[in-house]
Amino acid sequence: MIFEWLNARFPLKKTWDKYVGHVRVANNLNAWYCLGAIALFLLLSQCFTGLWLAFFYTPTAQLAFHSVETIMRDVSWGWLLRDMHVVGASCFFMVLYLHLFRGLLYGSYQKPRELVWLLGMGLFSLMMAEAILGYVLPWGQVSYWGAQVMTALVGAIPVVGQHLLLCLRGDYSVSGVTLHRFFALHVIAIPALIGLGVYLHIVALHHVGSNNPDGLTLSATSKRWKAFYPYYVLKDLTAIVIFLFFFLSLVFFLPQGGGLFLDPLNHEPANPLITPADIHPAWYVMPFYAMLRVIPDQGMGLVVVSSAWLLLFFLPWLDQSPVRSMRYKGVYSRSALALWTLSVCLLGYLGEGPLTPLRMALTRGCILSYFAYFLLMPLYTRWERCKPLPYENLSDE
Amino acid sequence: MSVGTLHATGSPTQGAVVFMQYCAGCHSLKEVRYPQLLRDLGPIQTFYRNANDLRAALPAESARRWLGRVPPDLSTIADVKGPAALSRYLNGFYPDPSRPFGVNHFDVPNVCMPDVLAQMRANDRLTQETIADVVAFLRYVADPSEVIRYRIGAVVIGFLAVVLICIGLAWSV
Repeated sequence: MIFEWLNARFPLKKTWDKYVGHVRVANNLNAWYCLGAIALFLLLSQCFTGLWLAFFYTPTAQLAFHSVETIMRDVSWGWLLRDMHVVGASCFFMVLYLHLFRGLLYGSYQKPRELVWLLGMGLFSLMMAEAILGYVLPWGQVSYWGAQVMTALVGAIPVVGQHLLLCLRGDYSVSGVTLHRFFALHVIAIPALIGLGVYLHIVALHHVGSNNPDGLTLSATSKRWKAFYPYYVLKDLTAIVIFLFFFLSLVFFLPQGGGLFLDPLNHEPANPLITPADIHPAWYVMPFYAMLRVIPDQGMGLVVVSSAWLLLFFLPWLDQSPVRSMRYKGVYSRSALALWTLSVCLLGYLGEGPLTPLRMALTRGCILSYFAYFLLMPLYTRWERCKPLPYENLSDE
Repeated sequence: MSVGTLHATGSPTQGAVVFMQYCAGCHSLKEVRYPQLLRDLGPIQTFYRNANDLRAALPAESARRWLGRVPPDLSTIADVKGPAALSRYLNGFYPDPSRPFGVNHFDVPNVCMPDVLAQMRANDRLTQETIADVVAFLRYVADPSEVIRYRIGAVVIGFLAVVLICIGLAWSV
């Protein structure tokens, strides 16, 4: 009865049908396709735990660290909220990297899904910003000094860099002013943009339909269509439960991830007079940090890291392959992707610790193979011999 | 509340007693509230029975004059350094007549801290159990939720495992 009342005044049934009820996808979507739902679940979890943390957190330099300790000790279930938020952030990046990798694997960025990809990459950029800002909030040693290093990057932008740096920090160095505005950005501005971005991302996806592991465009009368509801809704829910198993194991038994999710040094209150021996960002930004620190010129370093990130945006146009999915691509594409994945993982490892000559050489080699994946893609995707597609051919819509 | 059962090595309650006698004079525990200690470890002999933060007895200015620096707050030291490093630290003093307090340290050259456990060591009353107790207390202070986390975690993960088995059975049908 309430449903009818609402439905007469609001397009409830139409919205449900459009976004869930009448959506159909290929019948061979595998586990890689559950990551989007898990990411959405994590977004809601972060918002919920983040809200509760914001009830008790004080964004001033004098009290920030103490307020976090109060949350961990005195607030009822505060330790659970904080641990879920910290582990949630790292898990979110794990899921997002895998979600992105699925796109690389099955050519989900190719026509007509370029906008879905661009919106997704925009969302990923926002997420990186959100995580970096969030790490500053506990105001530990790593928070403070990480903020110093990260904001200094902005200063390296030519012409407007120093002015932008002052605007970003709000002060001549990272201080309580910086902390306060980072809190506002982290809690209000960027989550709002992420919410909008997720909505647009899903709308764009539903407009063109999901891809599938074979990269085939199914005809309207194909027998391989399957209703999203209830089959894939149930599959996504199962995936979320499996994910919860791992996520909550970490929350309850290893909330600091052995130093990966929360650096041990961050349990020491920020001290502008004592610089830690090794300042490094969290693991999810580490590959880019690894690139940055082996390039002697600051401006050049900024160019390299920015282009490393921006090249991902151009993938739909760099990939000139006649087929979408890795299942049908030739040996060049497969090797390139494998090499790229290895480079990214190795860069993540090499970003930490002292910079020995061997590590420097390895990092520079990884930078080369990272860029080779993108810059040579127009060539090797055209030259290679792809496998023949099965009966349903790729057709442009 | 058996906070002590989690740590196979060391009893936080015994460690708290040693801490209050030998450490609390100089080192504060600003993030700890005495009512929380009382609830988790039982009554501990301390001057701060009604305190909402355990401040050090030694004033900061005096500490700078007499010791060279203000002794750091130890509320989160076990999370920063780790329990192994803390044990090493307490065991790392050696006699050095050239220093003001007659001791130096293997890991921290020219350390400002005197060897507070020297008296216990001289009377043969200092054992590795005592050091383990102090470290266990500092671990509890840094992360008081550890025990309850493990207990609730076991229940939650157990429940999820059952749910997953049911889902697995449902999918296989």
